[in-house]
Amino acid sequence: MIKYGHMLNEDEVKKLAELSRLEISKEEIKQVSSELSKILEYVGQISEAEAGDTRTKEALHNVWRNDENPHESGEFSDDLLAEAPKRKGDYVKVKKVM
Amino acid sequence: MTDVLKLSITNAHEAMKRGDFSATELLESCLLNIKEKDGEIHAFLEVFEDSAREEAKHAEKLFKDGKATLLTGIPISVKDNILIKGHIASAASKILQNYKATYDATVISKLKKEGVVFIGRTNLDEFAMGASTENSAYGPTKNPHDTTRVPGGSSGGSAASVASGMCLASLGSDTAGSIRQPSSFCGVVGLKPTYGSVSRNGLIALGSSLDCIGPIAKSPEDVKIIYEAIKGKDALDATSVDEGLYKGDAKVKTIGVPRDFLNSGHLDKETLENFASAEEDLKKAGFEIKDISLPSAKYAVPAYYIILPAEASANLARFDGVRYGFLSEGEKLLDDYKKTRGQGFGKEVRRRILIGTYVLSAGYYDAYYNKATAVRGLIAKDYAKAFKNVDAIMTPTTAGPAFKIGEKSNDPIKMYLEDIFTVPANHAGLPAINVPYGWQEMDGGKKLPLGIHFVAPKMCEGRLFTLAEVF
Repeated sequence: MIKYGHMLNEDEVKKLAELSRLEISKEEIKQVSSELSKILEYVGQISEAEAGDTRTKEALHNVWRNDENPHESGEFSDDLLAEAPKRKGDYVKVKKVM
Repeated sequence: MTDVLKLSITNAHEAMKRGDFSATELLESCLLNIKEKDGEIHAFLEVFEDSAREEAKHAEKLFKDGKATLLTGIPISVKDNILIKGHIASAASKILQNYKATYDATVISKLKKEGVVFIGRTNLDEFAMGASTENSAYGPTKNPHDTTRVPGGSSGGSAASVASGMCLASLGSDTAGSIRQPSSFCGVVGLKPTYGSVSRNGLIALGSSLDCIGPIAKSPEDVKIIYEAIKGKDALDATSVDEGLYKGDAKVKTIGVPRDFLNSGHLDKETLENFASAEEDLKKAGFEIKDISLPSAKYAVPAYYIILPAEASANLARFDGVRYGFLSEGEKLLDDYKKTRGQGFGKEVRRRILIGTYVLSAGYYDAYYNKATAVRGLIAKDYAKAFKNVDAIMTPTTAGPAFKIGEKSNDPIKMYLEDIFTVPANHAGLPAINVPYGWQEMDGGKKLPLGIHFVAPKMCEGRLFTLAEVF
């Protein structure tokens, strides 16, 4: 059973920032850990609500499109590539992944 | 020059048809208001002077050719999280400061077909996260009724632009109240349509299970005209619904008031008195008022601040400095991501991404996200039960009038509570509207607008318009 209103320590916030791919300063980690703890305490009120699994299933169904090319290949490439911060020819350029 | 503040869409249309003024003249009146007032108000992040003038010329041709519709030549502003091809769409974030939209949002292509004039993109809280427009990376918008106060948010620029006659209407987005709360603070009409009734294709996603695009204008009639033009099923938004899915109507006789919920809302005395006066007016107009109960609505804000950060943290994962937007480089690819996101996102956005990551992490998912989703189901059930006895539900839109700039910006939870009366409708996917009703005189003699909030069953926007017309 989870205890709501868990106080987040600075190491936990650092870990969250790591998982979220956010570079955050030391000062902000300190501030954020107290703010986040307050917010988690506040949202913990929902533990009082007596809810089983009451998720509405009404009108929920998957919507698919046919597995085919929706437009000519290359039709939008130039427009889209023009927005990339770094580009090499018809490719988006990134640093080595592996 | 035309007095834009006194002009409805229908009147503007008739006047342009008669030749009293042209689309260009109407646009120039709006541009003049922007020039005179927006230095102080800061409703716009960018005014599209050149493209708007071209669009006005095109509108004039449509009138000449007898092809004009009600919206032809009408100057409309657009919240800067809705994509217009070729224009920057920044979401009021540094991370998208130079991003030029590569396509039109579906709502924009629909309005383009009508010959609308897009006058500019309006300010918002970064990625629509906020209730005051103070979270914009480009500085806050001020309330036209008192520039020491906030216009509300997140669609604060949209509401302020309409309230100060800089355009005839605006498109906003509403995830927890972001159309209705600023409309209330600025004294204009704002509609959050039924979830799925208006396509979100081309809206920068915040909380996808809650987000809606909707109109802000001076009258219920104007809001209705725009809603009719933008709604409809769209193959590019899988969550959009066929109109026939829910049976909608405009018939309303009884109005429910959730007294228990009102009491939990910490209402200002003046807002409560104003609400009582609205009830009296509705009774005089022949409506029956019934007390109802929404026992789970008190959990709507806490549940929202689990569901929203969870969805937002996932939606915002796409901003990585690779395909578009801002890039700040580090040594390795991982450093690029962290620097780009750490520097590109503002404080509130970073805070919500962290909360979202926490509530979705293994071990916490059931206690937070699943529980919040279950609570959401309870709220929807409350509404379904209430709508067996009443045709619509009314509350004030906000607990009080527009607050001072800076008053709540250091207390996230206080700011989150701004949504208390508006967010339950988002949880349940129901249509809801803010209608200006009454004024509150403040110390110093300035008067601020107050608003009434109506909620109806799915696809019953017609009932909201019927009620809104009473005031």
